Amino acid sequence: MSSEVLLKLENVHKHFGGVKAVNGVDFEIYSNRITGLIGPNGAGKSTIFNLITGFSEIDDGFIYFLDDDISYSSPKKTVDKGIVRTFQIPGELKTMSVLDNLLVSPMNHPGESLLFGWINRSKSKNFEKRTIELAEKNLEIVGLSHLINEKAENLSTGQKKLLELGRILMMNPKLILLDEPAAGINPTLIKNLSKVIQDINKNQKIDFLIIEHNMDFIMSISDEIIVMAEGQTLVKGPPKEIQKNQKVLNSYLGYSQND
Amino acid sequence: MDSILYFLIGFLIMSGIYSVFSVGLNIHWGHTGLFNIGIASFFLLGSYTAAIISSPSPNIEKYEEYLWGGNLSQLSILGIDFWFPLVLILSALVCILVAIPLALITIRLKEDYLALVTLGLAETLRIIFVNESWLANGTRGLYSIPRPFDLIDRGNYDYIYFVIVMITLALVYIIAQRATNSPWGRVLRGIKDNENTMISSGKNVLRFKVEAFAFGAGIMGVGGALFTHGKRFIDPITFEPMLATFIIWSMLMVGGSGNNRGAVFGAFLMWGIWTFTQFLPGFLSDANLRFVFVGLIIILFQLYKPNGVIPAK
Repeated sequence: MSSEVLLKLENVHKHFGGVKAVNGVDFEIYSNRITGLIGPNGAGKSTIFNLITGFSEIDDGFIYFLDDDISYSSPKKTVDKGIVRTFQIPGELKTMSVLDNLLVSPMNHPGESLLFGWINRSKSKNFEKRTIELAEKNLEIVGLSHLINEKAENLSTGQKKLLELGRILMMNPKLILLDEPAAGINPTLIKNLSKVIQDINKNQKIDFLIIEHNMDFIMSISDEIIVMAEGQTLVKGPPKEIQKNQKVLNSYLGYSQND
Repeated sequence: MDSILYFLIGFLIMSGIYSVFSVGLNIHWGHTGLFNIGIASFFLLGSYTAAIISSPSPNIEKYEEYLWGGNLSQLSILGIDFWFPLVLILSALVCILVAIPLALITIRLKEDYLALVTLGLAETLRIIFVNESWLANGTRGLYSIPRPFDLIDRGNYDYIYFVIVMITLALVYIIAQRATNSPWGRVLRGIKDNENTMISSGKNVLRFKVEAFAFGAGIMGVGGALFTHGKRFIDPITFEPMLATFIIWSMLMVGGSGNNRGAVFGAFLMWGIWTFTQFLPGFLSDANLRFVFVGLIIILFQLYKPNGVIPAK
């Protein structure tokens, strides 16, 4: 499998007042891989996600996605380019059904216009039909087909994370950013989730960048691990090397981490 | 017997008009989660627009400072009062034109602040109409507002107006229903459930919110115009918050926020309670106590049926 640079961060800075949340981060991630992003609490991992996706504005530095400069792109633009994300807390649309959660996600739905939705009815209906087919397929991939008409708020935390994956697949992404997908779900579902993520990566050629504190999960799933501490990249390498690296162990010491 | 029937028709007319407001508020709050507690602003704008453009040019003896009058009611094509649908559309349009800039400025605010701004606008507009007499005759108000489709004798006119209100309500309901059941409406519900998720799905949330705000405001403008031609007299006191904002909120909360059918049902129910409590014996029929009954019902519903009689699907 050939690998090219998918996402590249160059000397990225983000300060909140006096707090240097991200203080000169450099790394690149390659295509056809699952990349893990780990580090102690406060290392700046979630801030990196916010900067990549345009949820907060970068102070200094550059972010490139497939050689396009996306340093100052809005959330909508980054989604257009093919980068989609989840949040630490599942962002399911509570009062809507599992199916509707997926149907609402694709962009440029001709029916999503107050004025032209009335005129373009047939166009909208065709798009809707194709979207429903895609949604059913994606629900099968994440294994939620049996809950298709259930309200999202009635799902378990693990199922909500799967739902998020399904929702994101609707947007035709190239790179998926997952923020702590394994947090708060039971070991059986974690295994299930790993398998789903690996299947998507292999079969659909969609790459992942995953923030995670669950070391078993992230070490088993990732092809490469990036370690951050205190707003900077510490080391980078395959999981086996990272597990032995003294710098990494030191950075975690002194924090109340069980891992 | 006839007078009871006529009273009931009057009640149904008002319930129908309030249903229009309730459906409009449902677009704002029930579907999108926009906390508008200044329904009175669009109620007022719709009402005054309809009154001013349809009334004849002012008579110096009747009105002192009031200047204009669109005299649109003289316009009739083939003897049919086509001016009335025109008045409804123009009233909606004025509300939409006010709602869009207001939304662009304020909708980025968190919901509590949007509530403050809308409430502030409603009070400001009312005070402007109190003080600027040239605008719409100040506190003396506008009266003798023309009747649309004035075909039968004045004593029985309400039967005609009842039909007009019901047709308008049906149209508003169908439009609202189609819009909220469309993919467009689905995005609104998504925004209400989780705004960040919709942003990360690449939706232009601001655009959807502005559209929803303007759409709901337009519906409220239609309600205002219907009210004007039903009462045929309006003055600034009409638009005090109790009967122009808060009772509409009670209708939506009790009927079922997020469901257009619930919004209509709630309007008939709460207007019924407001109307028929005036026949209670003694001090129980005091106007202030009747508001207490409305409040009591809101509390009871919040405790035992917080999603309303016909909850959202």
